[in-house]
Amino acid sequence: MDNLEFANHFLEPRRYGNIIRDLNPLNRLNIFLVLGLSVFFVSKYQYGFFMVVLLFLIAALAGRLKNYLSVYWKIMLLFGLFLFCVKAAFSPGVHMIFQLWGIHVSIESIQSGLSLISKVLSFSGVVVLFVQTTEWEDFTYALEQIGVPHTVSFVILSSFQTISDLGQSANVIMDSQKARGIETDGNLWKRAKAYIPVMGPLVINAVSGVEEKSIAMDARAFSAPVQNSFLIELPKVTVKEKAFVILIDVLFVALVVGRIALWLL
Amino acid sequence: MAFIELKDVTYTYPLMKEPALKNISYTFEKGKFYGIIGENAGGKTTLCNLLRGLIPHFYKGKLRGETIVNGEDIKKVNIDLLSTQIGYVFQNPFTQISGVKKSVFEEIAIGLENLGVPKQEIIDKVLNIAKLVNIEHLLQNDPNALSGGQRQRVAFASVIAMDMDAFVIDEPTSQLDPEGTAGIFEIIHMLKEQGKTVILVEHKIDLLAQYADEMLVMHKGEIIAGGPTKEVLSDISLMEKGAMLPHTVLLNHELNQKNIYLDHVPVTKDDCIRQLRTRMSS
Repeated sequence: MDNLEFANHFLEPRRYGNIIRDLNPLNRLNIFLVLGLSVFFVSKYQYGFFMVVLLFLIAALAGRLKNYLSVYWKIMLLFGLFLFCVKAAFSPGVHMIFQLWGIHVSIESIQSGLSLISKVLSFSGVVVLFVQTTEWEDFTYALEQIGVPHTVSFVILSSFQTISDLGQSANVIMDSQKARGIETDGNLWKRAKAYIPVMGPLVINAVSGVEEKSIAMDARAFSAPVQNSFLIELPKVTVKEKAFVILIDVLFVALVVGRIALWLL
Repeated sequence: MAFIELKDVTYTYPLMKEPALKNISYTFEKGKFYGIIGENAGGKTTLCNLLRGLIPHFYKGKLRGETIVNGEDIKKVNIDLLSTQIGYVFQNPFTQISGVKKSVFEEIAIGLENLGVPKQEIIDKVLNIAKLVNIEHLLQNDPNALSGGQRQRVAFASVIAMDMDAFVIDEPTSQLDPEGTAGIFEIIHMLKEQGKTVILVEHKIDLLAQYADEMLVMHKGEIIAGGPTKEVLSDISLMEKGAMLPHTVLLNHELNQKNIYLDHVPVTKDDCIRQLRTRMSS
């Protein structure tokens, strides 16, 4: 693509050619949040696991399954398995399956564990999926369109960038440690010994980086007392999309009201 | 016409005992090109921060004396408004990239977006400035993956694109090769021709001698010499205070020691060649 062609694509609203990624970021957030929160209002843990599967399907539909999995499996392993084991081993229950020292595994404790992890995995899945299907620039643009101040949207954008910058800085420091002959690979203990001493400089660098970045943004007239313009724009939200989001929200409200009614009755 | 006036300004950074600027008095006029030279830690960058209003609005500390920008005291000036009048290119290219954009094109456009420039105009300006600064081949690249020299060019282009009345530029060529440096100087010269005020900190003294209208020499936080470029750079005694002087001035000094005298001290190559030719033919 030559530069003129590249430049001219900014004249058109940004489209990804994908039904999920072309949703307005705020609508996408709305839908995902409803999906994630709904598991807290449905008592059956099977619904939570259905939601986990549904999120996989949505990730595949968005063309981001690989990226989604690369993050999500860590959550499944770290939180899902750990929480399930703890809950299953220590929650009280009547129908005992297995008992050893202080560990009591029962049918009830297993159900309690499944219920907990179905909620945790669903909600964390929603968060990961939103991050994987959303360009932060699009998200902050959408926020500004509904009246969120330019400064707030930049803070959001820059915070997420700082996370990836921190990762890069950590890699640079670890590479320099390696160059000095310090072992940074190997078992968990070796890695911890290599990482812990660099945490201080890493954080200090990040803090000073924030100061420098704010000056750099001032040099780009970030706080200029004029209404800013946008190089990148998103497509206007279609009636169909609006209707779908309203339908999802109405169903969620009905679910919440129904659940509260069941509690009260 | 005075653009920035400094009257007996002394500035000390927070938590520091020694002032970084001492008793500075100077007048920067509109439409002129000022070069600032001097040893490292001589106060050049601090002076730039003051001229751009980062001192006292961002860096607090103790500021004494008067700094008048466009007729208004720097302490009372609206820093947000000042950011639309004076462009600032920093010394460190690695902290000048916003980090939030995916292409150099969008990176250069940030300032223009902040100034509310319409989209089509942004596109035209970015394409033009990229051609001018010779970074057309980088426009579609990720700005976070550029080399130091490339970042320096992009940062320079990003600020120049904003087309302000004045530019404070702190060592914009520290990571560039001679060809890139010459290109940047030509653009700075072009800005001056367009009537912009340019205040440039640089160590490339031969190029400064060629383009700058006035020179300031800083040493330990003080301006030890300031005035028309020829006048300032002709003073060989400045070398004792760590100032670099053009090769032509050093050559003239060597010639003087051998009792060979030119019409006047040549501060640019062209002037030196012309005088030597005249001398040899006579």
